[in-house]
Amino acid sequence: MIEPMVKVRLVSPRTQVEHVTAVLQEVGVLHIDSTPIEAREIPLRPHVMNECVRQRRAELERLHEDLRRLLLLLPGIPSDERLTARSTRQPELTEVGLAHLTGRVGEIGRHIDDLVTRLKASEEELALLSKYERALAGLTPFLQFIQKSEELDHLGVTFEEGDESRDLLPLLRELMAKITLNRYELFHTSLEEPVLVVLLIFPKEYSVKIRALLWEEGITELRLPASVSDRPLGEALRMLLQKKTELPLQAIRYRQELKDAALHWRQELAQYQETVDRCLDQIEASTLFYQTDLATFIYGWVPNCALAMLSLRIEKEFAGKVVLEQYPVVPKEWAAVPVALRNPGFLRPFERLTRVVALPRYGSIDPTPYVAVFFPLFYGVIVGDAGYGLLLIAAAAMVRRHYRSYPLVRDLSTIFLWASGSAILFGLLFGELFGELGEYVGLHPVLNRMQAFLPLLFLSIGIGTAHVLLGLALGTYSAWRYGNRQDCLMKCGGTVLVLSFISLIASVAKMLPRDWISAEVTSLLCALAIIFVVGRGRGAMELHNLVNVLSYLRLMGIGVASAALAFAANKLGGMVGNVFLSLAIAGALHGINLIFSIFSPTIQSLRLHYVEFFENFFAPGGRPYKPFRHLHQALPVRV
Amino acid sequence: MTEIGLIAIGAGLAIGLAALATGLAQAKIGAAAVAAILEKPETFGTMLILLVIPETLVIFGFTVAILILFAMK
Repeated sequence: MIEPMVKVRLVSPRTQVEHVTAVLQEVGVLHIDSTPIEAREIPLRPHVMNECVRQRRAELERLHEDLRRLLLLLPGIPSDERLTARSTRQPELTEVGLAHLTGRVGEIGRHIDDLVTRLKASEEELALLSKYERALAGLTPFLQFIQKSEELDHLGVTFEEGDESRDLLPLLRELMAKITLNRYELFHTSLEEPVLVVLLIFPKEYSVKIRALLWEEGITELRLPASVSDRPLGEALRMLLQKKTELPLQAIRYRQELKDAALHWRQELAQYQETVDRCLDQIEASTLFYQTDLATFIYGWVPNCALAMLSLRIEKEFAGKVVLEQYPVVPKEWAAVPVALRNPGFLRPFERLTRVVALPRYGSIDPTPYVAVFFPLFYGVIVGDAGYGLLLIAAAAMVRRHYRSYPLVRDLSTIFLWASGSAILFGLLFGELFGELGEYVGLHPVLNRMQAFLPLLFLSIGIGTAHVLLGLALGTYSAWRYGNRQDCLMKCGGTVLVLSFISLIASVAKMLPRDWISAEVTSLLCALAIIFVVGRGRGAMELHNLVNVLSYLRLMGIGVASAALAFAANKLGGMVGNVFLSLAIAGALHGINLIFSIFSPTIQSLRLHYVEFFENFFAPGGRPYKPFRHLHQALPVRV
Repeated sequence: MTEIGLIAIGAGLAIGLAALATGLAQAKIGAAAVAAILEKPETFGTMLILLVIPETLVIFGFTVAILILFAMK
């Protein structure tokens, strides 16, 4: 059902507005109305923030950003209790309190920033070092030959061993000998299969000439990081090797320090963030208030069941200085009233199915209880197999247990628990357990889906007629509540039309006495006259209900198709001589049918609700009820 | 051709043509619905309704086929 709402007005002295806002946020039941009709009529001025509040908001926004950034930088901790933060009111941030908080956050922030910067530098240097892994690996074996010398220069080069490289090594020796007059040393090793690393040692006076030669020949010199590139090769290599050992340890140490910082400060920062967000929300909410020179006016909506609680709290906090006035909600205001659905616990999962289309408008009918009855019924009629039902119920129970903390999955699995239960009941009625295997365990069909096509057809039309008539009855009631007499009469005419039409068909098919035909035709014509005289062009839409009744034939059509697939699975399985093979074939086909049984009956059952049932009474477009409260705060009332 | 053969052909045409028409309609609606849902995920419910509307055709085809097979014999 749709929770009845009460329109309220709070009048408080302007000096109390911050306290009132804090109390309203703490109680968390008032949906603030930003554009009340009365504000235009009186006329009231919208609440305007003064310079001081504006500065405070800017400061709080800066703090919010800083806190968000710091909480992102800190690693998560298992004992993070942010989600279970206390729902009691946080101390208000006074000017002094805000300055203290800014200072404290700045102090913690500097420490965390310093740690993160150091960790980042270590990780970046480590990543950079990994790029020179090849150079390090290639030259390390020659480290013993690289000595610090004023006269000698060292050069590492690399090239790929291939047809060309076989010539490159002798060529290099030949050129080096020629340039240095045989005053050189050449060491080489194979790094990984095609790559050859060569170390050249030669007098410094030939450095420029040799480097130019290597460049001309296209031989790559091993490059070292910029931080050590100006050092002699030997010293640079030793420094890099040392860094390679030290940096991972350094990074681990910094990470541990950051983890310690998280253990120490995360909770505190989360608490600060909550306080800051709370204050920011209060400032934002105050922009929806109205004022005169002396008073502040707050308009909004409160669920009827929470009004007493809010009233008591206001009285307790302000002892008559703040007045809470209650107004009746008149039908012409219904479009502006926020909507909260309140259904018993076992119906609440089905609200998901209603909300797929839209939230119903205030004053209209919440279809959730009807969906909760008819969705499992339709699903059961279509699947109609006790075996499939048992498997689906087991799967739904398992999913519900595993994903209990995910509301959407939990609700959908609950819906499927009901729907699968219905499939088992109809399976017993149709005598089906994985197709005709029910016969072997003593199941006898009351209605055999593979033979009794016409009774099934009538059953489907019967269910459809009942469902459409219920929709029309709800539509009539809804139109009457809205005071729309024209729609009310049209819906009455539509109800008579459907009843007369179905009755006429039954009489023609000799299921009802033929003598009734003239009365049925007369009532049919009367219904048509009412519909077209009252509704004129719109009356044609009511004729659609006749087609809608026939649409329920899908209950039979898809059900028979599903049963036929189950029977075919057994038949095909039975045609193979080998027991294991036949079980595998039958199992695979039943598996496919079971997957179809999840999707197709669900979509078809939903369609029968959304298209055939809802169109007679459902009024979409409800504004969701969004009470002014803190984000992590639970609603104090169950709506 | 025997009478039963003609009945079977009639039933086959009833469901076959209806299924073809449903398929053609759903192909167009489905493509448009996917594009719409990508742009506005909140329209999923409406798109689902629009997508399944042509299925009534094949259900009617199926019913006519059943009637041809079992009621007209």
